[in-house]
Amino acid sequence: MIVIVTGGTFGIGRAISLKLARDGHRVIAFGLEARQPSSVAEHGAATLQTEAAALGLHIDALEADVSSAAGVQRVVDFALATYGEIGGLVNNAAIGPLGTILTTSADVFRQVVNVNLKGAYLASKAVLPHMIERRHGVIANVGSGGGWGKPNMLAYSASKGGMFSLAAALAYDHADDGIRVNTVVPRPATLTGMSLGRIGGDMSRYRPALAAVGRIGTADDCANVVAFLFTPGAAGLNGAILDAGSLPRQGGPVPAPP
Amino acid sequence: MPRVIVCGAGSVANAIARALRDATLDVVTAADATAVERAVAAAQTRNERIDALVTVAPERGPAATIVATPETQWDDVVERHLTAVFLACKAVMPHLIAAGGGAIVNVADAAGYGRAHMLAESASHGGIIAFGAALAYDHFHDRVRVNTIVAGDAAGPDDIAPVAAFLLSPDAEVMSGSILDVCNVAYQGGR
Repeated sequence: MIVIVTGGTFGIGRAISLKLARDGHRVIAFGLEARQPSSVAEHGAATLQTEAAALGLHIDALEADVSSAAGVQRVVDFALATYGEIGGLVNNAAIGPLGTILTTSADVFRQVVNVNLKGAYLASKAVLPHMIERRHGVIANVGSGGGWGKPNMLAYSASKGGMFSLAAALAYDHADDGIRVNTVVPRPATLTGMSLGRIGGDMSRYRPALAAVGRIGTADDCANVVAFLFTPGAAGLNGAILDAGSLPRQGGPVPAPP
Repeated sequence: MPRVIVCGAGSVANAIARALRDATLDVVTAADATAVERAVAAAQTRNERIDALVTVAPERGPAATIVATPETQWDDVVERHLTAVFLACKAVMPHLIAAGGGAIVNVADAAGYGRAHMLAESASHGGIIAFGAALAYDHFHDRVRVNTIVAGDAAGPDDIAPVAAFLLSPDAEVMSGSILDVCNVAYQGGR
């Protein structure tokens, strides 16, 4: 399948791009090369292509802005010109500045919503006609526990909660077109440009919690769950939330260890 | 090769058993609450570890509102739909803990979100959903992963089985306490 991965050049997006390529998909990853608010992710495209090539895989890594309709269209045009079709989309690109309503400016709020939520809208809107034409398509969103509301994540929570509803609405609207839309919620504090950025890039302040399986959750864990959505076994999943956070709806608290 | 106990009868349980073809299976019917205990005891005498449990809810019973649900029918539905899942998990849990971890998948009915004319089943399956989350918390440190599939009205055996197999697989190792809707848009159905 030809799959576009937004924010696919770094962090969880990079892991998803590599996993999908390993599973035999043609991956077109895109993101911004410059550092974004609250993230340490930068210059991911060339590194990703080199990494893929070392594994004997080919990934197209482009620079484009998911919050711009023109930017998204350039990626879609590239995919169609190169491969003639688009069968899959992973809405992964996100920025995650922290803050409460008192500390979040209107500009930051708009920027978070434009990348995380409007980006998913723009990318879905651009690929859907090509999926509908073939009566088949898989859209996977990378959500967040923030989508259920978390402290000091006001704008991010609003954008990610919106993503759940966007996915469910898309799922209803295009079920009859043969298109499935689902959302995967990764483990909190998965090591990414965003999680590192939130602690100022200081690894010594990084405090990952163990997953239920007794080890730290990684970007690859999230990628494995996303990749399942691109298999025939996931045919019954549409509008679902795959909660890969090791906690029910990333609630808590986890009881103290014995 | 993992050993999985599949607790339930019918086409969904059979499809799950087929989807787990790489595992060693003990398939027991949910109708008998002691069947899982016997399967566990038998595995123990053979010195075999148990890695996973799948429970599948029985078929839906007769439609009924609260007015039309006699207490005996309520007791029967709660026993077969909810208490059976409790007993199966209770029988297996010590062995999953002893094995250093494991996985449980409970297949609940979307009636668990509340459905018209399904009073006792709605209450039972809502119970299974919350039960799974509580179990996931309680045995987080035991490395026992507990996930719940919520099967929508249109969910067929072949929709459910590969998802159950995925949840038991290493690819889903970070999933626990999740409530996963199959053929049922997240948390509720209906256009």
